[in-house]
Amino acid sequence: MKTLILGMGNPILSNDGVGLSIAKMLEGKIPHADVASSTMIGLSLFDLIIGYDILFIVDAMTTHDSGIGKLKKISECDRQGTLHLFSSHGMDIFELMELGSLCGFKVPRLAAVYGIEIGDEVAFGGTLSPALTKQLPGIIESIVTDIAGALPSLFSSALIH
Amino acid sequence: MARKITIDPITRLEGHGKIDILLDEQGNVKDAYWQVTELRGFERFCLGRPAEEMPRIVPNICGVCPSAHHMASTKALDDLYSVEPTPAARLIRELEYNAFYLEDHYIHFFFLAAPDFVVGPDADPKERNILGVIGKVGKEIGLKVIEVRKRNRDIIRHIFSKAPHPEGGLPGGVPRGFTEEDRTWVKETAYFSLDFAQFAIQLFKDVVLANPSYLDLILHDAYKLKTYYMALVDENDRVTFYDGKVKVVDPDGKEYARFDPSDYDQYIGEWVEPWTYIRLNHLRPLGWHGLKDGDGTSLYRVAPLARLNVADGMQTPLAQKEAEIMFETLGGKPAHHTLATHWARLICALQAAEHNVIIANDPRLTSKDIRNMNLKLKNKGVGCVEAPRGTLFHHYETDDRGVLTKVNLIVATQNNAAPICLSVKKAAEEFVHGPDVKEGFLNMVEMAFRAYDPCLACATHSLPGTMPLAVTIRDHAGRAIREMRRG
Repeated sequence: MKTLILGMGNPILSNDGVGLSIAKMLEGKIPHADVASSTMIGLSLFDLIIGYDILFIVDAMTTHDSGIGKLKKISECDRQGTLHLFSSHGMDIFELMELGSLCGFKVPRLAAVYGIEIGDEVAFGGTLSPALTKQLPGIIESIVTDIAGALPSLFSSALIH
Repeated sequence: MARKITIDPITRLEGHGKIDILLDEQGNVKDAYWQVTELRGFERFCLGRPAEEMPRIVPNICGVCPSAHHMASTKALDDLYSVEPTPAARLIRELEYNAFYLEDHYIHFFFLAAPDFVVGPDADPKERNILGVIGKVGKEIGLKVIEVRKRNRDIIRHIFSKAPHPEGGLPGGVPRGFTEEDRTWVKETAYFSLDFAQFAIQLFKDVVLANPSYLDLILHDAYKLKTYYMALVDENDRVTFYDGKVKVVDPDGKEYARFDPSDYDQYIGEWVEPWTYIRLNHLRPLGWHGLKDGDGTSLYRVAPLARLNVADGMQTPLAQKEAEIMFETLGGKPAHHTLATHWARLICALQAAEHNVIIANDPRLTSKDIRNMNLKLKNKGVGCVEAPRGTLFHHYETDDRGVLTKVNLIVATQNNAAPICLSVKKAAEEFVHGPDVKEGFLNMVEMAFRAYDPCLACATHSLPGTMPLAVTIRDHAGRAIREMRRG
């Protein structure tokens, strides 16, 4: 069973790149899971995700109903999600996975999306804001615990299917 | 009582923008504005950084045309450091740039344009996407698009370390060349892409041109705009993507100007209006005459159709033959039919594919002489390429340490911004009558700007949650009298 944790975001838009920062810090922390990052959306994700069985996404999120750095797990991702799952210039990740299936590729199951609230903090900048940086250790611990806990049941359910 | 229809956000283009259609008391279109509500501010962000960082930064401006920004930036560094790339380096850059063109143009055609033509402009929006296209023409098409994209990305990755965000641009050369062993797979990719390019043109003829109603749509007056046109041309006045002089023709096709890219500011004026963040480009010597086409206009257009209108012809034989067929069908040159941009895009992709076959067989491809290190900083550099969406300029100025003191980018969509407003208005006048508009008609209005493949973003951003198309109809006091939403 192949598992991918994918961090997404734009590295020059400060907090928008939180998914990329977290992906970097997750490397090697979860056994049997590969970690990758992408600054692209839409079809550009195709090469990254094809061939995996299970996919987790870490990305920035803007909901305005919680504070900066608040972690939200979305387990049922049908047409709902975080900032970079959608593209107005091509296709969103759900269409992408549908396209992959339609064309006969091995498409992973999107197990969960971890959204990190960034509010409207998308100013130009190569680093995260101090407020968000301070919360990274806690966010990472939560994600690691959650994925590590979820993988055994995801593996067995995939084997059953 | 005036009413306002708002389509916000626009679907299938990058960035944030909306269309406002203002109706008069009879429900006819009074005015239409394509508004960009997103402030870029990217140039300010770059000040104070070493100029050589730019090819690594600019591909992140947006997720749509990173290779175009990367190449314009790299060429601006060539100019800034007064250095000519070696012949092999230039060849390798052109190979990469053509590979990018193939990837970009086919994504646009199959994912953004084809839903309108293959599935139908008034089809259910749920079906009007790439999955609908595949449903109509078969999954083999999807497989081919994915494969041609993947193979050409391998070329980009080989030269500039990353695809689709390349980051290895160097003044005077390229960071990595090819061996004779590499040539084998490069040739395979080149020939595969050429086969696909011919297939794509044939598909366009079979599905779009063979359908009289689609051809009528392309030829419809609502999608016609008489403007000047701007594009790069080579020394033989042929379409070129990587390098050349900037040529401008008037609405009758006569040459108006031809200049070195470094003189762009003498010819391009940037007009500011309070209702949009995007600057509205026009021909500076003519002055700003407002949003009008035809007689007295100072607006110009860029992008694939402009390239074919401006140049005397294509660089390669198959593309030349297809360009002749296109102009014959459209009634001559220049062609002012905005929707024919999709056709011109496929012809440009065909040229890119043919050119890469030539490069793949060129003995210089495997030369080890891929970097000219004779660098002399001169404090100002301008780089220009034909981005897939049109002419793109990067202008950098530095202090004596090579640290940026001025950055000015003129992006393709900015060149087209004013004509896009006009195109939207023309289409709206034809297809929107009153507040009771059908979704298919609104999509036809959107088709007017989608042909330009506009890209508004300075980031790979989109809205959280679903991607709705919200249509709000308001009265003259701003009160919403009807709202529609899709997605």
